[in-house]
Amino acid sequence: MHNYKKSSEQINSSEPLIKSPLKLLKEIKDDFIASRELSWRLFHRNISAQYRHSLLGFIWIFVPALVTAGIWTLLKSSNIINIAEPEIPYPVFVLIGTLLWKCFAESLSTPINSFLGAKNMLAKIDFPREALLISGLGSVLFNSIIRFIIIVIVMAFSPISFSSSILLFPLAIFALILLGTSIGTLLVPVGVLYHDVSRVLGFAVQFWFYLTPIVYPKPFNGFVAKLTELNPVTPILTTGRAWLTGTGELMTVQFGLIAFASLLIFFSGWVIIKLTLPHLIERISN
Amino acid sequence: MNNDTLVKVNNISKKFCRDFKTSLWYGLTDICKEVLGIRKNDELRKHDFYAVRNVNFNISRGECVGIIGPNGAGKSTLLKMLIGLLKPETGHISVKGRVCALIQLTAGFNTLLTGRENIYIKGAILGMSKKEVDLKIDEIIDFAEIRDSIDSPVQTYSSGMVARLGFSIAVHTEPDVLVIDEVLAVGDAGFRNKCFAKIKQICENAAVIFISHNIHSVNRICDRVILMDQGKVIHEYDDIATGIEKYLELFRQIKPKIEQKSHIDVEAIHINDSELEKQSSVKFGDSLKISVNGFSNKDAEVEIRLYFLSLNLENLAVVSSSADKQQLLIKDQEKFNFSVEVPKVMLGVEKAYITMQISDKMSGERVYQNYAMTMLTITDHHEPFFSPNICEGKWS
Repeated sequence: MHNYKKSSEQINSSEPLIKSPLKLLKEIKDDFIASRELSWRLFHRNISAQYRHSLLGFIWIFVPALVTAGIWTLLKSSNIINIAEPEIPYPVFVLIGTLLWKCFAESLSTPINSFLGAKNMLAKIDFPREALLISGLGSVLFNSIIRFIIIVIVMAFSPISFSSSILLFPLAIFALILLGTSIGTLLVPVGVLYHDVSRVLGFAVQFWFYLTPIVYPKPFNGFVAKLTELNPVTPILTTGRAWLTGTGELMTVQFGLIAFASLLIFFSGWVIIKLTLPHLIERISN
Repeated sequence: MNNDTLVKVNNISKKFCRDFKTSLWYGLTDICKEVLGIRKNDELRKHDFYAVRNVNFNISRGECVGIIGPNGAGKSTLLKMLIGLLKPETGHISVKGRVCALIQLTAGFNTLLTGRENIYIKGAILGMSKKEVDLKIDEIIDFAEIRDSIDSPVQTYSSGMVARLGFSIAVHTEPDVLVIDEVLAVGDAGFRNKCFAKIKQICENAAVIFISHNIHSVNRICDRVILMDQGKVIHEYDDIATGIEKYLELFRQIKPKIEQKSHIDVEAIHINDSELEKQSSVKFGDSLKISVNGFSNKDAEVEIRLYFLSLNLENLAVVSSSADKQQLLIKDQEKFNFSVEVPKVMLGVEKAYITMQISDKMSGERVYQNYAMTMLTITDHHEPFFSPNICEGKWS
């Protein structure tokens, strides 16, 4: 039963919805259709409100990555840290890595933040909640497009020559966003109840950053090599960087498997949110 | 059209948990059960209590139903289940058509954006398409009376303006079921009147559910009331006056207790020469005569006070024998008969309760009280220029 649906009978029953999967799927489909307009509005609202109180505006989307890349380049060039030389100039290597990482990290935290930020609305109004997920995804995509433009500009000014595989590069950005969003979506139900989840996520992302070959090329032996091997971000990020620059290891099989798994996780997360939201609202509205 | 039942509430229950940490834990177990498809049992766990218990009712198109009851009666919880925010523990609710709830008018606004942008966003949240909003935006702005500042950020609005905008958007969604929870206190008197008129208008072609502690508002717009207390529906009343009466009876226990050893017995009270009944009426500006007969067991001087109370039990006016410098003497083992005439009834309300109090002037003790003894309807009512708090009465 939803206020955004016109002229059909809506039933709010105590029966668990998962016992009637067809009904559940139909509701998810209906909600998705009903949420399109609202998703667009919320997306528009997020983007325009985000920079209304800011002088630098969109610059904030890529400045942090630029600064991070600058610091790592400085550390490396002054020999404070010893990192294996990648096949392309190190500053370009790090900058591409951090910009790609930001796409992932942002999509990881966005679902929970969207739901927590809309807490008041969730507790008071019945609306297609999928819109929160979709508009969040929209913001991530929007910011990622800006990062993509920066990457293209950086590439144009670097000595690296463009290869045809560069056309595949956007796929890597999509896969990173999909992976981040799928994990983030799965965490929403527990994350809305317990704020511990977003706290843990906050610093887990920092460790994750170091365990991903972003500021260093993918290692081939040692303990860290094992960890980076298990890390689902590694294949996507390294493959993406290889597509872009034309050099480096391609891990297309893992890439495909992870992207497919992310898709599955994302849809199950979506269903779980749909099932659990009434319970979450009950606990946050007290 | 009128026999079209829009809301069917069937044996609904909802429990809540008093302890917040435990509540979060129950929430976690509930979501696991929901995902695994295990039905929640309706046993009470530790710290749980029923906020709503086995509630049934139906509402048809064209009806405006008031839900009244003391704080914690479960009204708001029931409403949240009606609009689909909460899932009931038992039973089911079916609602036909578009539901619109006026719960928190400002929810969903982004204060950084302009009023116009917010109309589109809130409209989308409430299920209106861009086309629909385009068609109605002028009406919405005019109804909210904020045309001058519609393109300024909402953070520059006064709280009344924000609430007006929220109300205006919500009522323009053309709901089939409109749910209102204590939000009509917004804006000034003029805007409130406009809100009532709008709700009345919506009510012609929709089912309206109105939750309020303001008995005046309930009396003004509802056709029927449902009285709730401690999660249960006590009764449904087609007659608003009886419903309100029963509602107020729930508070009777808070009235001051009368001394056991009262030395007077009141035998009869007359209002305009007819015996006291639950309802009485008087024409605006006419005189009102109230008399009391009784028997005394003591020589004493008494003071009689008549209080006129609003339906919300606020004091509107008082007639006092002391204020009118009357010495009312009663004698041991003798009958007494006092009466007072208020020459002109000029109350600012259409309905008022009358309470009679008799106290001993020597000891100051209250010896008799008849709380809200009658509901006085003032016919031909119009707004008085001035309604005095202390009315002069002619005593005899």
